[in-house]
Amino acid sequence: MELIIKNGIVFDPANGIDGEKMDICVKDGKIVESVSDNAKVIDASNCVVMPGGVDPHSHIAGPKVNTGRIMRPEDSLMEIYKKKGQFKSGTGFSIPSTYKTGYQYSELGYTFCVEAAMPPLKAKHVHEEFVNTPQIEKTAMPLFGNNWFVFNYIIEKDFKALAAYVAWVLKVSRGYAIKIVNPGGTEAWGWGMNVHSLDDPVPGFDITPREIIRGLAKVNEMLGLPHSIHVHPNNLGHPGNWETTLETMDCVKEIKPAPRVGNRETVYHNTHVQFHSYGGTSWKDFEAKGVEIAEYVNKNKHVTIDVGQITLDETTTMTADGPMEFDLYMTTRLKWANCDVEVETGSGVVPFIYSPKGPVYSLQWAIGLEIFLYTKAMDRIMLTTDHPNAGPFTRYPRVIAWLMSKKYRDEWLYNKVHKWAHQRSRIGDSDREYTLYEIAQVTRTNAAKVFGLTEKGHLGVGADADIAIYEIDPEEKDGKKIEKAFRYVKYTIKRGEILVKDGELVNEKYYETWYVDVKVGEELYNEVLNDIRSKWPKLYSVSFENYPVSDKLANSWKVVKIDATDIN
Amino acid sequence: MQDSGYPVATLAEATHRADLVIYWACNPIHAHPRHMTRYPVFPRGFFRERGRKDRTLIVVDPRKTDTAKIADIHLQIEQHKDYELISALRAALNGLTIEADKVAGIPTEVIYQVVDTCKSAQYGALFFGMGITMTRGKHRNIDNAIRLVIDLNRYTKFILTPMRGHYNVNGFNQVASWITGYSYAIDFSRGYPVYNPGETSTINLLKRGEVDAMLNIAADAGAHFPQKAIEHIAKIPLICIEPHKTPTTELANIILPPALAGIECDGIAYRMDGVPIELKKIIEPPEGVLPDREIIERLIKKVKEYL
Repeated sequence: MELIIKNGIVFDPANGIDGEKMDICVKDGKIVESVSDNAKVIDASNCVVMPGGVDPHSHIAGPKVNTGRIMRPEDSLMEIYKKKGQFKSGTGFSIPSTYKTGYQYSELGYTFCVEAAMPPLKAKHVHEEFVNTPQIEKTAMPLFGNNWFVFNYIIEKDFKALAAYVAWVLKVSRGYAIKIVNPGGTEAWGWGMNVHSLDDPVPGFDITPREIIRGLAKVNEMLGLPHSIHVHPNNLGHPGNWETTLETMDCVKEIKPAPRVGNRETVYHNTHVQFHSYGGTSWKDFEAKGVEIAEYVNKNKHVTIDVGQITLDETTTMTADGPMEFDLYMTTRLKWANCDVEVETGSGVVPFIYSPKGPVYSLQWAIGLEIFLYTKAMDRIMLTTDHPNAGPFTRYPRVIAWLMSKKYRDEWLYNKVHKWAHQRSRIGDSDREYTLYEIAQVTRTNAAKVFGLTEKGHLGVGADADIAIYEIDPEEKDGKKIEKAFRYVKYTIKRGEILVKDGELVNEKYYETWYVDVKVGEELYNEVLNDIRSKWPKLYSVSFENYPVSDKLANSWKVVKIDATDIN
Repeated sequence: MQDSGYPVATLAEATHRADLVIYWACNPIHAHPRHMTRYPVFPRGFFRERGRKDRTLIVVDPRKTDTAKIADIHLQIEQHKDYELISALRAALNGLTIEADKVAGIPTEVIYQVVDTCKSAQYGALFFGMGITMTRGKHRNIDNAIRLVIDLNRYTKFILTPMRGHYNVNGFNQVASWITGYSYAIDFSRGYPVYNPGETSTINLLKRGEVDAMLNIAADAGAHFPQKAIEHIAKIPLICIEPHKTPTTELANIILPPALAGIECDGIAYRMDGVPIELKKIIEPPEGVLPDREIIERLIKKVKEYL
C-alpha cells in the first residue's frame, strides 16, 4: 500500500524542516523516499503536515481512571458519542470511555499515548483497558516512588539489586519507564501523613525523598532505559512548592544520561510542572513562579518538562499522590475516592471545577502559560494537561490557540478569567506567539525523543507513517480557527492507513502496547528474584505466580529489548 | 459511591497497617470464611508483627454472630438503625453533643468511646456487608458510612471496603465502566449508553414489563429478584449462560452451559478490592462446551448476520 501526501506545508522539527512545501511518501506503513505512480494521492494543499502527536503524560486507562468513571456518571452526560457504523458509542468529557478515548486522540492527530501511572499490582487492569483502546499505540509507566522493595534496596545501597528489581517489574507489569509520584509521601499517606521536603524522613522507613529520586535516577541510567525518570515531585499543588521543585530538579544534576535505546540527552522529566511552580505561603498570597521554573529549565540541560496546562473546565483529578487528593477534597467537599495499593503506591480521585472566575484557578492557568511563554529551551518542553487533572486532552487545541495567538490569549486574560491572572503573573508582559514549528516540537517531536521512540515524532525516511494533516494557514491568528483546525484534523494517518478524514472517523484499528524488557546479568537476576520471592508471601495478597501480566493482555506487544547484562 | 466517593485500599494494606478493624453488618466467619484469617485480623503484617494482638476488632451487628463473638467490642445495634448509628458516630466525631441516652440501642457513652477508639487508631479499616446495603436506608447508609470514613481521615487514616460476594461482580462493573462510562443499569436502546438506576436497571425494567426477551449470564435472578420481576421473566423467552442448575435456569427456554473459568478455561476476575486475578485453565472442558467469551462472540456474529 502506497501513499503520497502532496503539496502540504511540512513541520518536522526533528529533521529541521520548518514549513517547507514538500511531498511525503509512504509505503507499507513507513515513510519512504519515493513511491510508484500507483500510490494513492492525498492532496494537502493549504494544509499543514506534521508527524502524529505523541502524548507524554495522560491518564487514560486503569483503576484510577475507571474509579473516576464509576464515581462520576455526571461526567458521562457532558459528552456523548453515538454509535455510528463500525464505531462504538461512548461517554465522558474528562474521563471518556476507552473507545471514545482512542477515537478522540485520532481526531486530534495524535497517534501515541503514554499512560501516566500504573500500579504494578493492578497492571492487568491497565492492559485490559488498553485492549479496548483503538487508534493509538500506548504504553504505561509503573509507579516506583513508594515501593517497599525500592526503599529497601536503596537503604542497603544495593543499586545493582535495585536495577534488577526495576527490570523485573518493568517486564512483568509490561511497563515502559520509572514513574515517581510524591516520593515517600504516598507511603506516608498509608498513615494519613505526608512528607513536605526532599529531606523529610519517610515514616516507617529510614529513607528520604531525595534518596529515592537519586537512587532511581541512577538505576535508570545503569539500565539505560529509553526514557528518563518521570517525576511528580513532593508538595504538588501547595503554595511555595516551587523551591521543592527546583531542589528536586537540581538533586540529579550530575547524573549522566546513558540510554541504550534512543537518543535522550536528559536524566529527569518533571511532569505537570505547572502544579509545581507556586509561590507564596497560602492561597491568599499565592503567586506565580512559572518564570523562575522556566529560567531554570532554560539553563539546565538535564531536565525536560511537560506543563499540565489548566484549561478552566470541570474535570476529574486523579493521581497516585494520595495525600494531595485528600487535601484537594477538603477544599471542595464534593466526593473523594482513594485506593492505597499494598507495598507499592496509593491513589486518589476527586472531581474538580476550575472556574475561570476563581482567583486561584485563573492564576494556575496563567502559571502554565508563563512556563510555555518563558521557556526558551524549545527541545525540552512538552504540551500536556496532565489529562484529566488540569483539563481533558481534547482541550489541547485550545491550549495551542492560546500559545499561537497573543490576541486570543489576551481576550481570555483580560475578559474571561479573574484579575489575579494578570496581576500576579507575567503572561501579560509576553508578546510571544508560538510558531507551528514550536507547536510541533511541544506536541510530538520532544516527547518522541525523550521517550526514545526513534521511529515516532518525525517524518524522516524510515519513520512510522504516523501523520497528522491540519487545515490551517501557518499565519493564522484567529484563536477559534486555530482551535478548530487542531481539534478536528483534515487527516490522521497511522502506519499508512487513514483513520480520520475531514474530522470524521473512517477506520477503527488496534495497535501495539509497548513495554521494556531489560536483561541484566543472569546470576544477579536470579539472586534478586529469590529475594523477592522469599519476601513475597508476607507482603502481598496475591501469589507471586499471579503477579505478572500474561501475553494475552494486548492486541499486540511491541517489546523494546535492552541488553544490560553488564550489570551483574 | 456516586454521591460521596470511595476511600478504599487493597486487602493487604489492612494486614500491614490496621490496628482497628470494624465489620459492619457482615459475618465473615460464615460469608467470607478466609477474610479474617488471610487479611485484616489474624495475620502478622509488616507494621503489625503480633497479628491479632495488635488489633482492636469491632463488630456491628444486631445478632450475636460468630464474628461478633470474637470481637473486642460488639455493638448490638437495633435492626434497620444503621443510618442513625452512623450519624451519631459522625456527630460525636464532629464535636456535637448527643442528647439521647441511646442511639439505635447503643448507649451514648459507648458511642463516644468508639469514636475515641477510632480517632486514636493509627489505621482503621471498615468492612461492610449486605446487612447495611440491603436494609432500611439502603445505599444512603453507605453514603453516610463513606462520609464517616472521610471525616475520620481528618484525624487518622481510615478506609472502607465492601464485602462483595458473588465472585466476579466487580469485574462486570469495571468492564462496563471502561466501555460505556457506567457500571451497571446501562440502556443502549438510544444508540449510546444511558444510565438511570430505577429506570434503566434490570429489576425495574422487568417489573414494568418493558422487556420482551432476557439473556442471563452467570446471574441468579430467579433466586434474588423480587417476585414481580420473576413473574415477568416467566412470561418472556429466557436464555441462560450458566453452568449450574439454579432457580433461574428452571425458567429458561434455552440453557447454554459454558466452561468454568479458572477450571476449564482461563479469564480474569476482579477481586472485591479491585485487584485483577488471572484465572488459569486446569482441565479440558467437556466436549462442545465453550467459554463464556466464545459463546457470546458467536451470538454476536449470528446477530450481525441478521442485521
